[in-house]
Amino acid sequence: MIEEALAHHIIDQPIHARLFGFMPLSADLVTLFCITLGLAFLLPAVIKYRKPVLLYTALEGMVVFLRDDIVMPNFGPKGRAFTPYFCTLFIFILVSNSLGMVPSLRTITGSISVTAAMAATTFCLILFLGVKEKGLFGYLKSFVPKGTPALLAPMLFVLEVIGLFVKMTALCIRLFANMIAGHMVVVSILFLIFIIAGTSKYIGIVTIIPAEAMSLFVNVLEILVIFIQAYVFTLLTAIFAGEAFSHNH
Amino acid sequence: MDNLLKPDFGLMFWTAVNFLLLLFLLGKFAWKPMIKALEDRENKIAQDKKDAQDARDAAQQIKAELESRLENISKEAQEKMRSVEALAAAEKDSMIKEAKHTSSVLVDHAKAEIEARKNAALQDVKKEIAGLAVEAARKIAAVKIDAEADARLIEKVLKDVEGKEFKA
Repeated sequence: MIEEALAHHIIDQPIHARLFGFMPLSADLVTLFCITLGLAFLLPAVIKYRKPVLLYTALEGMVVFLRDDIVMPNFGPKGRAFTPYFCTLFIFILVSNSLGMVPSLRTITGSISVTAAMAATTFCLILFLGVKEKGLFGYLKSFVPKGTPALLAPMLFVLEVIGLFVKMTALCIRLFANMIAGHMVVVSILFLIFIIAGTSKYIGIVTIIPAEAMSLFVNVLEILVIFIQAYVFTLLTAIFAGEAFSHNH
Repeated sequence: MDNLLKPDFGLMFWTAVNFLLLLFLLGKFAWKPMIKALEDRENKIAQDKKDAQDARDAAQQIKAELESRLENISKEAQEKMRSVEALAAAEKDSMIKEAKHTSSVLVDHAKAEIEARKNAALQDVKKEIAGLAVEAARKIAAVKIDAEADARLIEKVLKDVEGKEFKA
């Protein structure tokens, strides 16, 4: 029963409605559309009218931070043009992570499908930038460092290709696991109340206070994780894409 | 719980589509104007900073120039002061010398004049005394002597008087 309740809170649930009459919907999908629509309308309006000032200032600070501390160090001065990509990536992941903190809304990055899609977009970006900057042959050649013995080169090439996929998988699982872990811990702590109440009603009532305190602590920790994971995903994407973009590898 | 790691390809597809759509929309309508505004502001700040630095450099140059000119003016003023002092000292010496000379001439002149007047006065007194002496002698003698004898007498008295030291 507990497993079912946990799964209900964490796993995506289908909605008994269809978009345009044919497209099946789920809670994560609806949340995803809401995020896209919300951001697509809200951010241009905030930036155009520069109101509310606090939000505009925060966005400006975010853009400057991403440009100067993430994009430029990894791409060099030529990478200035990629700032919008990383701003969108950061804000998208940040909002996706944050929505789970609002009661009855879902953290869509707690779904492996969403994080896998995000990792796939990063993978596409890496391939696109590598091929665009070095050409297809040049990019494939960059997988094997200069001076590698000819006998080792094919093995190293295969390892590097596997390494690229492993990086993407790690990127996907890191975000997914971090976002789902907080929810699982909070729900598990709260379920402790019911488990203990099953043995003794009074002890169960007493358990409410420490359980609530702990869940509150984990929630606060999760706010930190939300920002850290958005930053980590953006930073790693910039590092991997920057490696493919640069000619030093 | 088995579904936790089961990928939903529909959700994956829509996530990628939504992200790309968001990338296009935000890139065009949000980040582009914001980055442009930021860069404009940064360029303006950099330009203002450069202008301020240029103005500061120019002010420093002007200050150095003014200080150098002030130093030159001060040196010139000191030199002029020294030459004026030397000139004034020479003038003073010359005036003192001239005044001394003039006063000495005046004193000599006055002395000579005093001497001449004294002599003239003595001459008059002698004449008067001689006249009085003759008159007195004539009255004593009650004799009228002729003019020639008078003249000889006066001459004799005068010679006697001249032979004596006159005391004023």
